[in-house]
Amino acid sequence: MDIDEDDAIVKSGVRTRATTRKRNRSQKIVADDEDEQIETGKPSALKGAGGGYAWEDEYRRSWDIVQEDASGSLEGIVSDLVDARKRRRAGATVPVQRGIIRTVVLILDYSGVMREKDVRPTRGVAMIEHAVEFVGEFFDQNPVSQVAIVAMRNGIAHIVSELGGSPHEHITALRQLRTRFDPEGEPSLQNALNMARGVLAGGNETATREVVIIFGALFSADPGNIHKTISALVKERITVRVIGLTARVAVCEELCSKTSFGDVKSTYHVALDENHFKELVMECVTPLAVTKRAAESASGFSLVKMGFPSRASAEVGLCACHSQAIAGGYVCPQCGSKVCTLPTVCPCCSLTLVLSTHLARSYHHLFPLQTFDDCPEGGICLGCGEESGAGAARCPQCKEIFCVDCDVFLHETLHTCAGCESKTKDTITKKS
Amino acid sequence: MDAISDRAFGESSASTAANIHRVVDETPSLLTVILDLHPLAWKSCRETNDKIDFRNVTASMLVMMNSHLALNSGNRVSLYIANSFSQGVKRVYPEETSLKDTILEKDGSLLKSVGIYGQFKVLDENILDTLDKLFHNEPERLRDIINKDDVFVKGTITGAISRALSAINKLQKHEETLNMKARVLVISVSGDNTIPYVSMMNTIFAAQKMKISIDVCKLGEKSIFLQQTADATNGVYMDIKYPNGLIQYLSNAFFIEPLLRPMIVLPSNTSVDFRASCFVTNKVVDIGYVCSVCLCILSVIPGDERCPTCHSPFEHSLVTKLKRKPKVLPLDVKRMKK
Repeated sequence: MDIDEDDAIVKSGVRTRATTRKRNRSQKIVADDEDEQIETGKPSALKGAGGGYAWEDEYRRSWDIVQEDASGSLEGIVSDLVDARKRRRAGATVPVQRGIIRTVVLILDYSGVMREKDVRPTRGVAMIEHAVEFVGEFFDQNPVSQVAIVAMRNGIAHIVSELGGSPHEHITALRQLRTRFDPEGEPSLQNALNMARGVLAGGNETATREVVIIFGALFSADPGNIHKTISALVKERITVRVIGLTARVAVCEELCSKTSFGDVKSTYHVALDENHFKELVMECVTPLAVTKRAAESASGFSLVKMGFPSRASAEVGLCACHSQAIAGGYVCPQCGSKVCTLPTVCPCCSLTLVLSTHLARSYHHLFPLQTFDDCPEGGICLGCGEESGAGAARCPQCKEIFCVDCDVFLHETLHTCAGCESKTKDTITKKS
Repeated sequence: MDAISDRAFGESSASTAANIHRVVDETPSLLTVILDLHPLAWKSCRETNDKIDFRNVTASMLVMMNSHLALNSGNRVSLYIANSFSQGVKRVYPEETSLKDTILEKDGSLLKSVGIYGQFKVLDENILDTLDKLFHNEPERLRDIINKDDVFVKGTITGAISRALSAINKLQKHEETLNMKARVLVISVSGDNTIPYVSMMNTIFAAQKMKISIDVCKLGEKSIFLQQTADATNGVYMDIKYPNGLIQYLSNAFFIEPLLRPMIVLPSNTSVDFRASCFVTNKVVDIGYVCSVCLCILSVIPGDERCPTCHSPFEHSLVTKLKRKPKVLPLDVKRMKK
């Protein structure tokens, strides 16, 4: 990818004036481009604008670069931002088969290097904050999935929280980790991976098996041969994603490429700055697409037995999961035990308990909203009823115009086109 | 010097405490009403219960919106109609920009408006004019729909909620209305069969994320989807038993700000139907099988071991495992083991 470094910097320079949301976007694009540059591995791809390597260029501060055009407006830059936003979303609208029921082991580097302050306040604290946010968002979007958290500290792997489906438990465990322990010692990838294998081995057979590693160090203190562990991971069909904080490490590269099962997109990323770090963590929330190789090798897809519990009467009683007195709660339809929150696995008969609305929450991964076309002439936005201004978009199906804000809202929060849903033309049909 | 700074400090702290109180109490809020105008549903509603009267519903709704405006000078209202005529969803108030001139040209007002508060007048006239026009514009189409027995008209209530949510989203991004609270009230007559499932669920989650309550005032038949909507978004769901007294329902149960709801005993709906329905047999199930690809819910394992919705084949060994009945060991075997 032969990207003009100058262009990239201009985009990042715009940040100062744009809103936070847009800022994140532009950064993301820049970050991706830089990532790709490195991934292609061609020396020419690393060349900066001046002909030398990018790191040989003089550092240019972002606020020096913001240029107003002749009339003193930032319109040109804003439209650049809009384009950047479009580019980012373009890939996400083809419906792909995804592993919706997931088990994820989040491995956190909690070794001495996490005391570094290049990310504020420290790497360790920032990582735990992002992990807390990740857990919340993860269960919001993947309600029938499970997470376990492992920390690498003092050369060994510690379980922070066991495999489970309750965001609350994980978040409390993460907070405890932060208050009770300090990052210390060396990380050990092999130990952590082995522990993750152990956790995943006991999990649901039908679910995807994923490991997400946040890795701050450039080394790993392993008791044995890590390549054997990697081949074991491959054998057990565990996908590993690594988010590096310092620089790319060869062993992580190998770990990711071997466990990506033919997926073209690399699962190894290095955070460029704080925002990018957070975005990389949040990216892991979206379920991975089922890769071709995995789909071919599997003999079929799984069918999961689930219970749809009813609400218990309002009387106070003990719940089977925490032995706490609660009013209300839900009753497992198979064994009749009472649980306090959903979704969960019944502590008594290990039936997956969900509400039908939880299943529906994953639908937008399966039926994504198509990308809207550019509509440079603009018009009245259907969503907010205001003049759309620059960067309007038009739904290819209902031909309605949306402004930038509504367009983003529809694609990121609502996942439904307000225009298509509002139309009734040709919807009078014979009763089936 | 000390005295001055002390006083200043004391004053400011006292005033911030008061401010917090005021902020909680007096942040303006937006009430978005969505009026369902599904023609077939209205028809069947009128057939089953002749007390339901469109005039009465409109009048009660207007009273509620007016009183919301009267509560705080910063309050706003907006009204969408989920119309199933050719126009689809329409924003009635504040009126869509392109429609402004057509409404203004109307001279004879439908409202007797002596001594009415200005803002009420604008609101009421707008709404009544638009509704009036709507019925006069498309009588043929309306007649067509109503007189045929075997037609099905898609409802547009999800479209209306979607548009309301995107407008609220935009509003809450503007600087001067940053703290604006918002809630949505759906006055619905249509049943679940007119509501597209996936987009309804999407709107529920969007509202949940934005922390916007969706209240449902249900005339006519019950709706499971709308019940779940209200439950998930912390709203009020009520089946209206006595449509004559709609104004009472609206001004009591639905008039309370979401902020005050924890302190007030609300008409509760403990019996929310959370069970799922099987995609094939349409039976309500409490233990079902879920396809891991498309998440469709099945009450039985299909004979051909393929998902009936997405046609992906299921793993044979898993299916046999699920089909296996619990084994009961014969008595003598058990003894031998002992």
